[in-house]
Amino acid sequence: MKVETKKIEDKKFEVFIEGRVDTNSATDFQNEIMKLSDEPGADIQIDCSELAYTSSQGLRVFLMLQKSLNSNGSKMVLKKLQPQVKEVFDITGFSNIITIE
Amino acid sequence: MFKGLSSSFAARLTTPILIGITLLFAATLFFVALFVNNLLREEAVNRSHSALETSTLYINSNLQEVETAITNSSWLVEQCKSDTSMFHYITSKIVNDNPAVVGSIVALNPAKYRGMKYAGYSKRQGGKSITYKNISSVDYDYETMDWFQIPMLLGTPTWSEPYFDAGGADEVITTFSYPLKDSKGVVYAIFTADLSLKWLTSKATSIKPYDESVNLILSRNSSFVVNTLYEASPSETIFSYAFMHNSDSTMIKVGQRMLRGISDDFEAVLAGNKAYGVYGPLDNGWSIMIISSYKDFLRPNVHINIILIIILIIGTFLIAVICFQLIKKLTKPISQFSNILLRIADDKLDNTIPEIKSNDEIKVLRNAIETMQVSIKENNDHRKDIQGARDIQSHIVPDQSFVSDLFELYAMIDPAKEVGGDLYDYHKSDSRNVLYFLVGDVSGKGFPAALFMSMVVSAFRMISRFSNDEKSVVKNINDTISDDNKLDMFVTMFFGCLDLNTLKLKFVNAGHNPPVIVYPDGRAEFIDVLPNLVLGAMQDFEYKDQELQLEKGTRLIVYSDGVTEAENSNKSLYGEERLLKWASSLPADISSEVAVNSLREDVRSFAQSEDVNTIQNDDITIMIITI
Repeated sequence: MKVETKKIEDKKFEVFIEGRVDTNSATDFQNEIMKLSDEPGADIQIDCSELAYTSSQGLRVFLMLQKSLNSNGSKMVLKKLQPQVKEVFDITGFSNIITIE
Repeated sequence: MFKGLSSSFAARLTTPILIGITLLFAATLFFVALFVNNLLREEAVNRSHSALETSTLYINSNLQEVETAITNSSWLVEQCKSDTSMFHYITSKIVNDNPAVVGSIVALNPAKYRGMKYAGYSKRQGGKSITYKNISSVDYDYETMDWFQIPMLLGTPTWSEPYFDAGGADEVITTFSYPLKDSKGVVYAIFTADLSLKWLTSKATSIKPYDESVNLILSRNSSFVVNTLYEASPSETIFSYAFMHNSDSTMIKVGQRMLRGISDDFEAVLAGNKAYGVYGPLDNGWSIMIISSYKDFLRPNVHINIILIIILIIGTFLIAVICFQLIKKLTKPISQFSNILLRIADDKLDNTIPEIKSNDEIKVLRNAIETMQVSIKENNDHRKDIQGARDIQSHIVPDQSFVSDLFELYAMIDPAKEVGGDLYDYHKSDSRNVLYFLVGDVSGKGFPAALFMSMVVSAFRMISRFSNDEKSVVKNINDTISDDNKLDMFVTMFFGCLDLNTLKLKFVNAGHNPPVIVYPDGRAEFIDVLPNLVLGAMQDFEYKDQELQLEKGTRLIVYSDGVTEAENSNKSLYGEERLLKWASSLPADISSEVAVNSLREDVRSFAQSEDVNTIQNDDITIMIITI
C-alpha cells in the first residue's frame, strides 16, 4: 500500500493510492490519509486507479476522513475506482455518503 | 566432592585449567632446569680451572721441596765423597727432614771408584725410625736400575717413572735422581730421594672441585703417577686405559696433548658418566688432570628440580581443589535455576528464585528467570481473560439451532481470532408469528470488533422488541450506534423479517454481502439488494427495505465476507461464483445444520487445498434458514 499526495495549487490536492488496504496496512493507510484533513476548506481528488482492494478497515478510514473533511469544510472525490472496489463502496452504501466519480 | 565428575560443569572447566597450569609449570620447570644447568656448568668450568691452578702450584711446590732438599745437600756428598760412612748421616737427614721422602740413596759410580759398588740407603720404617744400609748386593744390582742408569746417561736430574721398589722401599714410588759430577763433568755418584706415591696422591687429592672428582698425574711417559680413577699397576698409562675402553679417542687425544705439555679442557664419558676435565703441565715435565662428573656438579639442579616438582604437584592439586569448589559454588545457582525452570514448564509459577549477591551473568540470568515467571503469570491471566471473553461472546448469540413446524434455522460463527466481530441473531415473535433474523460483520477483527459487536446485538435485542417495522428497526439501530461513534466503527448487516403466515420476506441490507437464495427446484442466485449504508457510519440515514415472496422448500443462505473472501495460499479468493456453485449443488433434503457444515467444510478445503497451514484471516459466519 502506498499513498502519494501532490499539492496542485492552494487548497487543492491530488492523492494517488496504490495497492491493497487490508488488516496489515490499514493503520499505515490511516496515518497517511488522515493528514489530508489538516487543511480546512481543501479540495481533494483521490485517484483510486491502482487501489486493488479495500477491507472493511479501509472503508472505515475513508469514513473517518469523510467525516473529518465534512467538519472542516473540505471536499473529497474518489476517482477511477476499479470495478471490484466500486462494488464494495456500492454494497456497503458508502457511495451514498462519499462522492465517487 | 568429585561426584559426577565427568559431566559436571565444574569438572569440565577445571580440567582445561589444570592442563594449562601443568603445561605452564612444566615449561617453567624445563627452562629453570636449563638455566640452572648452564649456570652449574659454568661454575664447574670455573671451579675446575681454579682447582687445576691450585693443584699445579701445590704439587709443583711439593716436588720442588724434594728437589731442593737433594740439590742443597749435594755439596755435603761432594765434601765426603770418599768417606761412605758419612752417607748414613746425609741420607737419613734427607729422610728425616722431608716427610714426603720415604727413602734416600747415595750410590757411587763404580767406574769412578775402581769397580767398588756402594749404595747407602736410608729408609723410613714407619713412625720416626730410619734404617740405613748398603743395598748393593748380588740380588740388587743398582747399576741396572732406571733411577741410576737414566741420570747417569743424561747427566741431568730426573724424576723416574713410577715403580714398585722391591727390596728397597717396598711400595710404589717415584725417584728424584741427582747426578753428582767431578770437576771434569764426569758423574761419580747419584743422589736420590724416593717419593711415596701414596703421599703424593694424598696431596693431589686434597684439592678437587667436587667430592667425587678424579685427580690424575701423568709422568713424562704418560704413566699414572697419581690415579684415583681406578686401581692401576705402575706400568699402566693413559693410553693403555684408553685402549681398554674401546680405544677412547678423546682420552687418546687428551693423552697426546698432555705429553706435549698443553693446558686445556675436554668432555668425555668416563665409567659411563659424562664428565668434564681440565689438564695442564707440571714443572718437572709431568701433567696433571682433574675430571669431574656432570652428575656431581649438576647435583644441586636435581635437588632444585625435585623441590620444583613437589611444588608443582602440590600446587596443581590445590588449584584443582580450589577451582573445582569455586566453580561448583558459582554454578550452584544454575542447577537451582534449572529446577525452577522445570517447575515453570510444569505451570507452577509460585517459585521463589534465590537471590544472587554477585553482580554477574548469573544475576542477569536470575533476573531474566524472575521476569519470565512474572510475564508467564501475566500471560496466563491474559489468556484466561481472553477465554472468558470468548465464552461470553459465544453466549451473546442465541443457540445455533432453531426448529419450528414451518422452518428450520442453523447458524455458526467461526472467529479468526479468539473473539471476533461477526454476529448473528434471531428472534421469533409469537404474537405476530414472524421471525426476525440478522447476520452482521463489524469492521475490523479481534477485541475492538467484539466489543462493538456486543453493543450491536444488545441494540438489536432492545429495538426489535418494541418495533413492528423492520425499516425502523434498522434505522433505530443505526442511530443508536452512530451516536457519538468517535472511532468510526461500523457494521454491515443483513436484517430479515419472515412472515411465517404468508412466507413473505421483508429485509434491509445495510451494506452486507447479498445472501443466496436456493429455490425449491435447486436453482441458486444472489438476492438483488439495494445499496444501503452500513450501520454506524452516519446518523439519520434513511434505509430502504425490500420484499421477497418465498415458498415452501426455499433455502436462505446468509453469510459474512469471511466466506467469499477466504484466501488460499495463492492469494485467490473463494468468491461468489464458487459459493453459487456450492449452493446449487446442495441436495434438497438435507437439514440446515448439514448444509452449514458442508459450506464451512467447502471453504476450509478451498483455503487449505495447497497449504495445510493457511491461517483463517477473517471471521466466518453462516446462517441457513430452510423453509
